[in-house]
Amino acid sequence: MKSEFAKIAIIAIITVVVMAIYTVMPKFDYFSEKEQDSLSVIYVEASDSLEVTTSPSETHTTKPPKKKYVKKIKPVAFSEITDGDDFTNISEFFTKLEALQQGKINKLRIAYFGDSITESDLGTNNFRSCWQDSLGGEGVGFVPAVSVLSQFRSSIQHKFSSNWREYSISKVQERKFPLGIFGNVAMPSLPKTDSLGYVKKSVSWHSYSMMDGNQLSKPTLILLNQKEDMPIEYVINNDTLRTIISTSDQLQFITLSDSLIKYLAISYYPQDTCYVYGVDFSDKRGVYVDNFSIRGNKGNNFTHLQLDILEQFNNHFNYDLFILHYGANVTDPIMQDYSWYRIAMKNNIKHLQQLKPAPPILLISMGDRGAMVDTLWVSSPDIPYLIKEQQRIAKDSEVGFFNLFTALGGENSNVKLRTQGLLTPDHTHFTRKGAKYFGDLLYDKFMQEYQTYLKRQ
Amino acid sequence: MWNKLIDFVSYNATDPIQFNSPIFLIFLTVALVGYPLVFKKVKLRTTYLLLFSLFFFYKTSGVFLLLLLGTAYVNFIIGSLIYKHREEAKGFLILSIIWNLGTLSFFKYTNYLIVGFNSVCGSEVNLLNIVFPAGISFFTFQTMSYTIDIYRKKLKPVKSFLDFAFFVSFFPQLVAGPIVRASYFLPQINKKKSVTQLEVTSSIMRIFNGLFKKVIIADFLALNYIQSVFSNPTGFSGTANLIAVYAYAIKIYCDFSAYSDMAIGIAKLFGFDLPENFNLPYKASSVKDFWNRWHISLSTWLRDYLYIPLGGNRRGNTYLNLMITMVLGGLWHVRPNAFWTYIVWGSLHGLALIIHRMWSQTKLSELLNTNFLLKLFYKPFAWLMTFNFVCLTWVFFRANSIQSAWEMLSAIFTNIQVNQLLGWSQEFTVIGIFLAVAYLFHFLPTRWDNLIVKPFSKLGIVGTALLVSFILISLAEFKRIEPYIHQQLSTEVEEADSAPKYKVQQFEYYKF
Repeated sequence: MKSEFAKIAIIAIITVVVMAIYTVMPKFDYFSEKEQDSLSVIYVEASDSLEVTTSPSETHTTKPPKKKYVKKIKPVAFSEITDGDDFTNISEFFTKLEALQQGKINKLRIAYFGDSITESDLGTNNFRSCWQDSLGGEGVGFVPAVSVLSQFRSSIQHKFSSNWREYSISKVQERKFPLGIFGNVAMPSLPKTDSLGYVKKSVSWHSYSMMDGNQLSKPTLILLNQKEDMPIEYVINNDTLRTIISTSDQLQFITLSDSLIKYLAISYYPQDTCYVYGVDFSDKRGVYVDNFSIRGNKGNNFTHLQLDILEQFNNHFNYDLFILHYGANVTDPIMQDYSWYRIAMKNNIKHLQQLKPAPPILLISMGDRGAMVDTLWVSSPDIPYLIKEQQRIAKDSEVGFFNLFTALGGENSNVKLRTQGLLTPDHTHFTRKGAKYFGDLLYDKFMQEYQTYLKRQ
Repeated sequence: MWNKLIDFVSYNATDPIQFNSPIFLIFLTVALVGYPLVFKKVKLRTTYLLLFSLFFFYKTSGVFLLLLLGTAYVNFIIGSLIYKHREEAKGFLILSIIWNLGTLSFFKYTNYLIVGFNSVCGSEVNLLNIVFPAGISFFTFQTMSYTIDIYRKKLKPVKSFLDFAFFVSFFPQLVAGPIVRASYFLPQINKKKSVTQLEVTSSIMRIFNGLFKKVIIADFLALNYIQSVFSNPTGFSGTANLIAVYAYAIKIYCDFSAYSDMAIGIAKLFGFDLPENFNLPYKASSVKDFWNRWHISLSTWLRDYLYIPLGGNRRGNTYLNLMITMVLGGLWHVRPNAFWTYIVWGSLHGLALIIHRMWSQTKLSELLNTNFLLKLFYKPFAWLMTFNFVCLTWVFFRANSIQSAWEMLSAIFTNIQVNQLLGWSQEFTVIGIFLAVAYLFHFLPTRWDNLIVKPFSKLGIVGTALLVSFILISLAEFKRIEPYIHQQLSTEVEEADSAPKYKVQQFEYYKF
């Protein structure tokens, strides 16, 4: 024990021994509660023939205790997922489209659920105008009262005061609030008063104005006011109007104007809690597309939306098609097992299918997402596994499927799209130009499938 | 068992050994355990450490081991030639510089040259598939310092190639600095080695300080915040962009200084001293001061071997000399996936140094720096300006392209509103806490370090070992629960369905 070097050596040996014991020891589970809730505890032997789907409550009874299955994931190559488009499950929509063209019905309405790829009306803006150019319709559909992304919105200009409280489905502690179909709801602040009346700064307001020739048509305010009558003040073009919202246990759809306008601003003077969803801009005729996008969403949390609120939205808007477009937030280059996602997603679709009447659903696969390997951009290597699961989700839930990945060009298409200026530098999100390209592509696909449908008839 | 051993010994390109990877602990332990048996005999000790160093480099870069040995051998030969043939010394020196800069340039700049050639001539020469050896920027500068110092008669050539190879490849400083000069390190090889109890404790503390900065601060900020903002700056508000820049500033400091800290600490455990590389850079009150505190071994290298030969501040145009030095400093940082951003970064710093030099020669600056009352106001202002300047230049350092840097800057300068801060703090509460802790540690007084080291040096062998294991286990546990922390505390919740992943993050300077 003469030198310090020997002491260092002993310290090192003891440390390694302790660390070895630590490595072998079972790990303490900090979040065991969470694990039980989550769906990832279900072990599924991956094969095409055998499939075990169980709801979380059933897993505890059927799963033998402490027995672990080895997951075998079958390798999936990019070449195996090139097709799979299936629009036969949404022929109900095409029937209505045919009726609209023949003048039997007046209106078609599509709800587009998405993530950051389509946030702030990217893509859907162009998709909508394609429909409206050919079949009529004036208005951008539903616009939320408050949205952090409103500054990027490309179809109309949307502003709001900073004193709103906003609740979103992506935050666990906020899911108890009556969230709207788009996964979001906003609460105006209670205004303060002084000797001169209301303090202007404490009043919550939101405003919409025309942009790119998109006029605001027939604004309908949607809110939930259960406790006290609430006065509101709204400005249409240059006229200021006032009205009082009575209480109701149901959602209220209040038509503010019956014509095309250029500017709308609404201020709220609530006496008690009240929830504002947003404003709908749509006419009685034509085709409308509502963009319900939430940044960072995986699309597997619809089950947290209350069914009665969904139903009220659905009854008012009479949706003819739901489009679900997710995946960019699910993929992870090193993952291969997406069975948890399939199970969660199928529960979500089941939740949406409980609506009466339930509109047909179209599932759009993820587009391309770039990953950098050394210095080269390629498609993220897990994409085939995810798309395979998405195809299976569509097949099992009997909903339509559109393989966007193939439509964009298949493997490594992000490189080409980026050089054309259609993707942002992260090789995932669309630029404005790319959004237009995507909207056109989606519309063309619909038209092509519609022709196929007509031929089959 | 046998297969695992072979795995451990062989080179794996996707998982190079690093200070924060678990297998490094085993590697270091083996090296430390044998060391007491050999440290008394110089030759044996040098051979022993050389073998470990070569193995370490093989685990990081594979066959490039031969390049390392080749560079060492060429410079060893040229060094003795310069010493023996004084009249032809210049020619040999140029030969050495051509070899060193040539290998460096081949790996760093060939593809950029091809791209430039193609765009000028319109030809279609294919890019070469060049794999970049880790640490080449560092060890070529070390060997250059050897031949240049011999040429300047400041150093005598070493007699044995063994010693020289050991100097070039000593594993703590091999891949990411500090850049150790021959004149600093070579004399240490033959000295008797001894360390005191206090030095051992402070080295261990230093290693853990590095691990803390790397694993807890740098990795957490990079993975959970910085990456997403820098990859898509237009998708975030101006405030979020600005905070990302501040976060990156502390992240790159924590990342890089962590490596230096661990290198210095590990070398000390073997009885070797390495030069300091960082001195709390964000406390600097001018850009010049910043470069005296940031990556000191590089800035003094550039000063002694580039700026002063160019004429320094005595001959020629001083401002031009400053600019050339900083642009070449930027060029040194160039990586395989970005070129112009580093050049812009270097020239911005050059410009700032020029402006600072002009300013410091005016009477007003003299007055502000000497008058007690004015100094009280001027110093904080100067610090604020320097800090923000340095942070904004990091935008170019980190950005993938000039365009993306530009998007980020335009978001910062055109799209900042005060109310965004509230939204940011709700969305990224945890990030805010980590940032605050990181900056707090940076600005704490340095003398507090001794308060921690002294009591721990009295713990004894077993106590120290248990403390070391405790800290290591805490770090491993932190890594394990990290995905959950972000979910539990932050409001931006992703679904808890995906499994947590443990991945060793590379040191940023590892790739230079």
